[in-house]
Amino acid sequence: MRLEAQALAFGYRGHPVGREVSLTLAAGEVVCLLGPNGGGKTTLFKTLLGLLAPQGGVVLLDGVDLRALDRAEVARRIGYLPQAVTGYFPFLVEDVVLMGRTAHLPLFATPSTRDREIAREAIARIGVEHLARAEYTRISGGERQLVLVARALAQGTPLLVMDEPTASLDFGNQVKVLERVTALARGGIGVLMSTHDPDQAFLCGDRVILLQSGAIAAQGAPGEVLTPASLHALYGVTVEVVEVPLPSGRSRRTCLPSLAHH
Amino acid sequence: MLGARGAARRGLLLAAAAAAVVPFASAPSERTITDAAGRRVAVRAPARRVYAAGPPASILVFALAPDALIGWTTAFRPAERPFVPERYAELPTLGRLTGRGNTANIEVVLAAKPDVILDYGTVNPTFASLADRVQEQTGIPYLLLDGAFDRIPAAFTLLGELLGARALAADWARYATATLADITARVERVPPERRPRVYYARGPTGLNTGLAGSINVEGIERVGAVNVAAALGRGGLAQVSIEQVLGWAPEAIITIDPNFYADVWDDPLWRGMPAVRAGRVYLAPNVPFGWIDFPPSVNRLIGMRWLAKVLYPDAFPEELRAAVRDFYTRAYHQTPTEAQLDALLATAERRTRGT
Amino acid sequence: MTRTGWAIAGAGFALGTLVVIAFSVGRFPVAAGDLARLAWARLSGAPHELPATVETVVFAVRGPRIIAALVVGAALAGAGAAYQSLFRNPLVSPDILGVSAGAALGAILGIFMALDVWVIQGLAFAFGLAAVALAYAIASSMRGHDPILILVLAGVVLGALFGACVALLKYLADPYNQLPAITYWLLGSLASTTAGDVRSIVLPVSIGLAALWLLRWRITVLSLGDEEAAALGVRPGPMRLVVVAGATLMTAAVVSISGIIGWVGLLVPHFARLLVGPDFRRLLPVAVLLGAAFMLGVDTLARTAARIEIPLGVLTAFLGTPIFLWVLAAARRSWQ
Repeated sequence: MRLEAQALAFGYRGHPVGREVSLTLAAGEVVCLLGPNGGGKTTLFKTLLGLLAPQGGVVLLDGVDLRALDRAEVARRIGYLPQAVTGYFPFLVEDVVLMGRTAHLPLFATPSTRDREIAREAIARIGVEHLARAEYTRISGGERQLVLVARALAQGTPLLVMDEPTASLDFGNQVKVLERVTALARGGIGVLMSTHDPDQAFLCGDRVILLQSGAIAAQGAPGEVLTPASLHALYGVTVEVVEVPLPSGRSRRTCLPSLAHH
Repeated sequence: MLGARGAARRGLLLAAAAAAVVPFASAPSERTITDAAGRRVAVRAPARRVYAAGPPASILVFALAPDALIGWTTAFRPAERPFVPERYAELPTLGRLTGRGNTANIEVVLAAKPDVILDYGTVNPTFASLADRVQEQTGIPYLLLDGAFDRIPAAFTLLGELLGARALAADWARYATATLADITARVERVPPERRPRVYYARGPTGLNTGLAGSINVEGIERVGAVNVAAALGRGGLAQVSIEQVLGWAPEAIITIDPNFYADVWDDPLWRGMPAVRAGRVYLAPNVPFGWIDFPPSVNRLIGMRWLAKVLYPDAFPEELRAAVRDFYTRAYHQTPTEAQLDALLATAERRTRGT
Repeated sequence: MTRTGWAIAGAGFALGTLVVIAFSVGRFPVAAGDLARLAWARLSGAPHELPATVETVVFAVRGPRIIAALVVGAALAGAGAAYQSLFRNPLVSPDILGVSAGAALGAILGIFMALDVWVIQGLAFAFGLAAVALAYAIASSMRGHDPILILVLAGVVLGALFGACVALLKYLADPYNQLPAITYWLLGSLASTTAGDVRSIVLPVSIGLAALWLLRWRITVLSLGDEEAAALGVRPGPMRLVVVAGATLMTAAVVSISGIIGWVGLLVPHFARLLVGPDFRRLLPVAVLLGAAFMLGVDTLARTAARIEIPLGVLTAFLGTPIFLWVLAAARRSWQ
């Protein structure tokens, strides 16, 4: 399973956002997309999912042009975790997760017992069983995010696109979500996630893509791409990248920003 | 036929000649006339040009002195035109100025230079104050006349004084009085228990009717028939349910809607009713003006005769034809052809099955 | 039994009771015993010795009217529920895309031209469908960022335009004859419902309800929003078109025989959502049952409470407003 963008130009009608973007996402890897606010990350994701039409170039899913596939087909292969969804109607969490099964259902069908099974399993794997009968609109932001991860899991897609899955989560929840993401990747799912925090890329990313003003500034292994120079170019701040030894004997890189007048 | 027509014509010519003398005899002078609302209005009488502010006033003026009418409030429909002389049918359409859905442009009215504005109908403080307003705004005298049935002779008299057509007005007053008196007298001889129970079906579904005392059923109630909807009390128009009509089981149904009349015989909800089974559903003619209901003006005089005939066939055995011919000639200034009379009277007969 | 089960059972029971009551009351006196004898005669084919008028009243007058009230209520509530899910807005009624305004224009044109009753109904139906089709066409020709907003705006604008045409026709109409007929039509009534009227609406309403029922899961997913629904595998554009078409078909059909009746399509889905939640699989049947019961109750009241017929639109407004305020105060969960 492979998602590929070739020389992709994307944006809204009359308002181009990005151009010449080429990237790939394969099963079992975690790719982190970094970039400043307004850099076009969400727009790129929507184009990769087929929710927006490309303005140039092409998006290929297993070598097939995305535009040639129908919505259900795409939804069976790529899942989407949108940014900051609060929801409007007070659906129960278990129903929200159940909606992930829609892509597998024929037009007039409703979820079967098997679908409900799968949803229950997904809820259990993500560890939110205690929320199953709660109203989606009443739970906290972090819990909502976990529920959406469960839904993506229930959707059973080999690829996942997550738009800032840890935004506005507390520290503990951030780590929990990243744990799930890593577990999914180890289970064979390809994850493309955008993040504001370079440390997350160091923590769980196999590859990093830097997106600036709609164009790819760099992509590759986190250690190679995330340098003080590239981060300064991306964010306009002074950052030190330091390799830190861990008690387990391994080491990990981390970013240490410095404040201007210190 | 020529003789009868000729006689009527001669009568009219004489009356017209007499009326024609009057204006020369008395040149227009300032007079104060008290109208039906008690308003003292200064007018130059006799008035030559009258703007009739609503349909009832138009018909009143047209009947008495058609040449004084400067225009109609709404245009004649194609079916109505053949009943009035062309030169009158072509008078301009000026719109209504009676306070109930005004469509007249005041400037258009002023441009037509009327000597007086006339309204004929309900007299109450609202309409009186409206009259005052228009009078003040335009500077044209505005007179209100009472449109009630029994005041028809009085209305003609006042109008005759205004237009300098006293003799003709007196003639009309006599005619109206005589008609009403004749009908009333004969109806009174019918004992109350033999008075027919009548339902007035309005609208395409026939479920709109007039409650007791409403101006729409004035004719029906005036001929002594029992308005079945009176069971609901007094009021104006009302929407009722077919169940109520079935419960009332009227002996006769009067309608003015041709669609309802056409459908009622086969409609499963209506055809079981005694009135329909007996063929006693009557469609009142309405060209050039309605015979019953609206406009509430002197056009309803012939409707009274018609109602009397269809509701009391025994007490009113004579044919309607002569009376209709006479009324149309007198009121609309044109004698209807035999074919026109046939069409007018077609729906006054009891329908037998198979027609 | 689940909560939904209780809700459906309760609504069904209320419905059954109301139907019996509706058959028993009316301006024409029919004794309870006669009613039972008629029912038995109908079922068993045995003759009854009652006068023909009584049979006419029960089966030709009350029967069609009761069925019509049920169908009208069901259709309006179903359409309202679908639209509220589709547009994610609890203040949406089936009229929002202009179907009622269009139907009103069609019917009033018919009254203005003094046409036959079934032509008036046909015009109402046709113009109602045309209004929504026009709104859709306008919205499609304007590709914007928010297709739902544009669609709703087009519907509102068209509704205003048709309303102005109606106002013009009222102004030009003959105040003695046509204006009362126009006014009565606009206020809504089932007073002159015949069996033929009921027959004419059964098919469109069935098609509409069937469409909504078959797509109940898709509608649920669609109520998350266009983007999320698309990401989950639902095509929002075509799905929305089918739902709007089905709801419009139902609404235009019932408005053509009943005139304009407001509040049912707004209020009943709310109430249903309070009872069973926003999942359309559960919401639709409960809304439909409650709508049918509500409409039947209101219509029965309209023909028995006063000496004359109370227009349905007036009655639903008088009943609907306090109920709506109560729902507003008591319910905290129906919407955010």
